[in-house]
This record gives sequence, structure tokens and C-alpha cells, in this order.
Amino acid sequence: MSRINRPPVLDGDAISASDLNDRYADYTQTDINEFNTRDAAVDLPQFERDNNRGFLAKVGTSVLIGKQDFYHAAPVTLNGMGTAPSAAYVIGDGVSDTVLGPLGAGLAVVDDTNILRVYWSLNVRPQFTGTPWTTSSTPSAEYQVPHTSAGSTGVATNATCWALYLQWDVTSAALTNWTEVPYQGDFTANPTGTIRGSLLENTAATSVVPAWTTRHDAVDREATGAEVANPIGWRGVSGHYFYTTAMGASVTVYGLRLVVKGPMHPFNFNGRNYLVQQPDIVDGGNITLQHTVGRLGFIINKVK
Amino acid sequence: MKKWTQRELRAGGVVDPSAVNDELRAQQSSMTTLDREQLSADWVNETHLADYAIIRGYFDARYPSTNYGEQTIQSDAAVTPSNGFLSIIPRLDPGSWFDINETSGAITLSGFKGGNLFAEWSGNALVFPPFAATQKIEFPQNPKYLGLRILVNNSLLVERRGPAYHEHFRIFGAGNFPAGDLELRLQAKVTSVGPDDPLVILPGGTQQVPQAHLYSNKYCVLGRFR
Repeated sequence: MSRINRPPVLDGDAISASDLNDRYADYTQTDINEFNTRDAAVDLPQFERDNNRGFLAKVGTSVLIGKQDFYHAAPVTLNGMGTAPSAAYVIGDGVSDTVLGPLGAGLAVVDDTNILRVYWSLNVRPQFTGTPWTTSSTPSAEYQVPHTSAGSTGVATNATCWALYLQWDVTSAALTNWTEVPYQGDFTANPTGTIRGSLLENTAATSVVPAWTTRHDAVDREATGAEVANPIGWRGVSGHYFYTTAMGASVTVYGLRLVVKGPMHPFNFNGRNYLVQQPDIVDGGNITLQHTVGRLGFIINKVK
Repeated sequence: MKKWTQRELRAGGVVDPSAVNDELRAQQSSMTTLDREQLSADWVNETHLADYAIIRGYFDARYPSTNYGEQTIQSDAAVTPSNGFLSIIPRLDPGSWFDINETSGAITLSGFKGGNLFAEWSGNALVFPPFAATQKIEFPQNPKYLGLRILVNNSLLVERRGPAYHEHFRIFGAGNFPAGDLELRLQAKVTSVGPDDPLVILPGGTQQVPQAHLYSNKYCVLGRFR
């Protein structure tokens, strides 16, 4: 706050008009301005709003997704996709889709004053039978590591994965118009041949889960011995996405949901990186992703 | 509101110092008690509040934007198999912490007014893990991790060991910082290949094993100034 700093009038001082005017000028209210009474003087509690909504975090909610099966007694099992492009699986409870929404009209509005922050988690278990990475495919799931003499050893790329990604409905509370969120592709682009996938620039709302990991002994820059591949056990996968009007228009969000495709694999073409489907290595149910429960939530946060 | 007038001067009266001082003190007293309780409930609201008065967001959904959200140390196609990302290969491994945007490095958080800073960085990471073990006992095993850290003004805000497979990551931290523009850096560090690790692959033996990559990188930073 402003502070007046002028010695008081003392007995014996001459009182002149100019002196009095200066003193009165000190007390004028021009210094009680926006800065020292509003911007600098108001704390957050002043901004309590109706319906218990906060000032900085205007809206926030979450929902359980997947199947609530904490002991993994009967998880949802998704088979690897043997064709490309394939429709994505929607994360559900095995009977119906689990989505966040419908959100009330006007509840989740993203404009230039705020940001939509989305977070998710899911309990997953990638599984496989045999050695799918040895199956010929484009792109291949295996590297051939040469011996220092002749021959080579196949080593899994350890890059085959499942891709979970986010969709929203910004049309209506009917939730019948699901689309990928901005900066997220649907993995159906066709860079060359029969390959289907998305440029990495369109994976902003993707979180990947490794389909398997393998191990090899190494001696003198050679892969030796048997390849050891252990199924990855139950693990939590998380994801994060945000949307601002720097990425597109203002929107009202009516719903959010998580979908998944796989197996996916890295691929580069014409100097660009892609994450693409890898259908050739799928043989019935040899590659699966099991999942139980997770949570999908969002918060709309003031940014200015 | 309070009544400010302490005494009323009348024409023909004697003006002495105390008359003036009492009046001024009365006004000063009134001003020091011009507090929030005297303000109407809607005197200030979001509409009245100046932009960035109490919070400011900094974000990029594809960082580095010039590289589509992918880290910038990337091999070219001549040494990269088509079934791998153009990425860090052993020959390009800096062997130290590096900015995921090597060309510009720091992100300037302009107009930070002092207070709490929350920073989060997320994306996907590819790590090539098979050769964690070596058969030569004189060399230690070296499981591969992709270390991650966030620096603010070149001081550590948060650091994590990072992913070990092809998987998603998110790293976040918060701290209090003084007013002024801040410099944010998103850095990674690759566990370098071991002395026994195979480095090249067929055909030809001229292509190298894609060792690590970061993509879908995005950051969201929120500065709270009170």
C-alpha cells in the first residue's frame, strides 16, 4: 500500500497555502489505484465461487475406467490387432465402455484464460505366447546383430508396444461424436505400402506400454546365448495431456475416454518417425493386453 | 464507510497546527482502515483482475516445436534401420545430460512475478534394454535408463531415474522462486552402452542400434504469484 511520508506541522511553523495544498495532495486518492488495492491487495480467498468451484481450478472431476477387479480375477483381455487399420478398443468393463461424461453444458469450457489438463492411469498386463518378434513383418520386431565372424543373432527390438490414447466429444452431451484430441492421430495414416500409423508429432495424448522385454548376454560386441523373454507383469500405466486455445479453438468438452491400439512399433520413412501398427506378428490371441481398473480425470486451470 | 472529518474549520476562526494535524491524522487513520471488509463482495472479480496478476501458465504441447515434440539428437536414415526411430545411437550419445531441444536449449518463463512454480513434463521414451548384462565379469552390468530432470535457472527442480523400456513418463516438481524471468531446461541422460554391447546391425553392419528416443514431449508450467 502507499504510505505518506511528510513531517507534521509543529507549533510555530508558518502555515502557507502551498504547504497546506501539498499536504492535502498527499491524501488525495490517486494513489489508491488498481495496483495497490486490487492486484496487490487481494488474496485468493476473495475469489471463492458458487458451487464450491475454485478460482484457479475452476472445474475438476474424475471417473473410474476399466473393470474394477483389484485381484485380477477376471480382467478384460484385448487381443492384438491382426489387420491395419483397425478400430481402437475403448477401455471398458468388459460389457460397456467407461467414459468420463456426459459433462453438463458449460461446465468444461476451455478458452484463452485457462487450460484443460487431463490425466489417466490404468492397470495393465501385456502378455504374449511364443516369440512373436521373430515373425517376419514390416516393420520387423527384430534386429539382426552380426557376429564378428560370420552369422548373426536375432534380437528383439524391444519397441513393440500398446498405445493408449485419448478421445473427446466436443459436440454434445449425447456422446456420439468421439474424435481424437488435437495433436493426436488415430494411427490410420498410410505413409507407404500397407503400413498404417501416425507421425510422432500426432502422439501428444498417447501413453505406450511395452508389449515385452527381452535380454541377451553380450560378449565382445556380439549377442550370445539364448534370448530370455519374460512377460511383463501387472503394471500401472499413466498418461497426461493438455489442451489450450494455442492448439485450436475454444471448446466445450462433453466427454473424455481412453482407447487403445496394438501391437505398435517404431518406423521411419522419408526422414520422419512414425508409430505404426504391426499386424503381421499377430496370430489369434498370441499377443494380448489385459487390463483392470484405472482412473481418467481432468482439471481446468486458470492460466492468466 | 467511515466519516473522515475530525473538525470543521469556520470562517474567522484561529487556525493552529493542531487543527490541521488532527484533520490529517483522521484522514490517515481512515485510509489505513480502508480494508477488505469495507469492500463490496463483487468489488473485484475475474473480469476486473488484470491478466497474470496472480497466475501465469507457460506450456507447449509439442516441445521442441520445431522437431514435432521429439528430442533433437537424431540419427539419419543412412545409419538407422527403418524399424527404428531416427534417434540417439551409440555414436551420437552425448554421454552426459543434454537438453531435449539442443538448438535453443532453455525455455524462458517471462514475466514471472515471484512465488511458486509448478513444472511438469511428460512424453514417451524408447530405451533399448536387452544388453544389460555382460558375460565378462570385470565389467559391471549396466541396465539402461533414460534419466530425466528439470532445471530452473540451472538449478535442479526435479530429477528421476527415468524409463527403462518403451514406455510413458511424467515428471513434475515445484519450488519457490524470486521475481524475474526464469530459465527452464528439460534434460535427459542416456545410460551409455557397455564395452561388450553390440553396436551395429545388419544388413551391412553400417546401421546402428537405436538406443534411446523421447517423443510426445510437452510441458506445462504454472507460476502462482501469491
